[in-house]
Amino acid sequence: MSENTKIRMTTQGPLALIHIEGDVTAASEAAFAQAHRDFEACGSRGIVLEFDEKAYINSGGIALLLQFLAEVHRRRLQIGITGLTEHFMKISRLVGITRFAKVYPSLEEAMGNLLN
Amino acid sequence: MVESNKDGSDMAVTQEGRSIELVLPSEVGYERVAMEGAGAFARMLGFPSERIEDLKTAVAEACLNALQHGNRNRPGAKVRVTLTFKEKAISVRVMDEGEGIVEIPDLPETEEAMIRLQPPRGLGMFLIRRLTDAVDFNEPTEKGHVVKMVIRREGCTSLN
Repeated sequence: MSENTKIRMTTQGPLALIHIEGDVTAASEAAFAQAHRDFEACGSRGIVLEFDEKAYINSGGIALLLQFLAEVHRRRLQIGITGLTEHFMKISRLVGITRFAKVYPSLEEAMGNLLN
Repeated sequence: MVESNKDGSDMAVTQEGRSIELVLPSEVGYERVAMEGAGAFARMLGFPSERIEDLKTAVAEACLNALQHGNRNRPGAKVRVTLTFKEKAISVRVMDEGEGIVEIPDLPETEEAMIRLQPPRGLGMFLIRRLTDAVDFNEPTEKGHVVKMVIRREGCTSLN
């Protein structure tokens, strides 16, 4: 596991909140695998990925994120993302992340609206 | 240092022709040194924040490709990054000691990867293409392989 990737999960009602900080790169595979096991174990109806504003995300990390989102999407769970910088919001649209997840401007909006 | 106008034009004139060069070891993580250096250079030249972020991502991804695929993380192999400001644009050359890119995907293999639930490939080059105003992935040189990119101060950065 990349020592620089910090992913932790909590639950809030029917939602799993996955907080991501540090470097999201190709070395983050184990961290994403752990997050996958964690949300499967909690039986949530939806997932909100909250990125720390200082998180560094490169193409290797985007590839893992897309894989993670595709796996969650296949289970027909709702996915929200928040905490993205303006630049990464643009990248999310470019690479197709927004096909799998709704992007919210704040955690509160994500938690309040994802399952509606 | 000359104060810039809102659009950075005064500073741009005084900095015309300026160039910086960075030499990186072939070790993952050093692409961020080039990324931050490129960002600082563009800020000095009065580039808007959106273009600075485009440049930083493009430089980081080009360096990552160079050190991982070009130099194959060989100890001792270097990645040389040169940024030159001219005519309201920054030209970036990223040179590795490899033989060039054999296959340049038009699009990342996102769809297929999603079906197979495997991480897509080619995202780095895809991002470089979309975030820069011009790119040549395979400029031949006597000393190695060069990726050349151009980022204009007022560039496209569209979602086309």
